[in-house]
Amino acid sequence: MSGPSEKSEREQLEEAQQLQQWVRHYAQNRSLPVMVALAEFVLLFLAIGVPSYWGGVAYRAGNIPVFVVCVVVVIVAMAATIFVSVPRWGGRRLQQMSEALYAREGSVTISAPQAHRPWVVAAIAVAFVSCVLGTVVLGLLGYLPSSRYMQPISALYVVPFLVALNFLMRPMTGYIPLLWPLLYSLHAALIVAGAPIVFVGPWESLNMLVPIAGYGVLTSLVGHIYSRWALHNARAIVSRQLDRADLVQDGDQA
Amino acid sequence: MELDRIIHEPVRLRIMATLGGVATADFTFLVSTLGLSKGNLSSHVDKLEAADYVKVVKRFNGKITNTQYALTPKGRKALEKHWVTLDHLRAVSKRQRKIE
Repeated sequence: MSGPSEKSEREQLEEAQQLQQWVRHYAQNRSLPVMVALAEFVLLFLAIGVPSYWGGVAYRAGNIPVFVVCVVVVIVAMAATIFVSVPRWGGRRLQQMSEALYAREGSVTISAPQAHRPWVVAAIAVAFVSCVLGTVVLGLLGYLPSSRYMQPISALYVVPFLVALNFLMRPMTGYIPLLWPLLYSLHAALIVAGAPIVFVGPWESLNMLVPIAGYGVLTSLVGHIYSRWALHNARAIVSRQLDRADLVQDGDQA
Repeated sequence: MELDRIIHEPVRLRIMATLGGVATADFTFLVSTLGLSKGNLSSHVDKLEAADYVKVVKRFNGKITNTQYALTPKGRKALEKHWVTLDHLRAVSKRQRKIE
C-alpha cells in the first residue's frame, strides 16, 4: 500500500472500528423499556399505598363511600402489579413495549449473558431474599434502629445485589447500570451523616421507594441518553463516510 | 498485509462493523443507521451471505416479516483479522511519523 492510500485505508478501518464500538454502546444502553417499567412500578406502589392510607382515614371517620372507592383502587392496583410481575405476561409486554418504542430505528440484540453456574444465581437470589426477610423480622422484633435508618441498612445488601446483577447480565449491559448502586450507597451515606433527606409520618414508606425506584429511573434515563449519544455518533461516522464518498465520486466525474 | 476485499468494500465494512458490535440487528436498524436504501442493503448482504460471513434469519411478528442479521463465526473471525490489519497500519504510521 502506498502512503496516501495507506492513510485512507487506516482512516476507513479506524472509523469502522469506532462504528462497531458506538453500535455496541447503543445496544447495551437501550433502557427506555426499563425506565417505563420502573415508572409503572412506582405508580402501582403509589396506587396501592395512597388509597390504603386514605382508606384507613376514611374508615375511621365513618366515610364508607370513600373507603369503598379506596378498596376498589387497591384491588385493581394489586391485580395490575401481579400482571406486570409475572414474567409470562409482564415479560412479553416488556418485549412488545420495547419493539413499539424502538419501532422506527429497528431492533438489535447483544449476546446472551455468559452461562453462569445455576447455583451462583440461586445463591445470590436466596441471599438477597434472606436479607430482605431478615431485615423485616429484625425490624418487627425491635432489633433495628429507627425507621430513619432503614435505607442505609438495606444498602448493605441492595448494593452488593445490584452490583452482582450487573456482572451476571454482562455483556448485555455496560457500566452505566452501576450508577444505581452507587447513588443508593451515596443516599445511605448522606442519611447516616444526618442529611435531612428522610420522609416522616405517613410518607415513611417512601424512604425505601424513592431511592430504589428513583435512582433506578435516573440510571435508566442516563443509559437512555447515552444510547442516543452513541447512536448519534454511529450515524455521524456513516454520514462522514458517505459525504467523503460523494466528494470522490464528484471528483472522478469532473 | 492483504485486506479481505469482500469485507473491505466501504458499505460492506460498515455492515460488518455494525453487526460486529451486536449479536443480531434487523433490517430496519441497518437501513436507518447506515443510511442505505433497502435494495442496496440487500445486495451487499447477499454477497456477505454468499461468503458465509453473515447469517440471515427471517421471523414472523404476527403477519409482518422481521429479518435479522448476524455475523457467522467465520465472519467474526474475518472482521477480527481486519482489526489486526488496522493495528498493523497504526504501527506503520507511528514508525513513519518517528522517521519524519
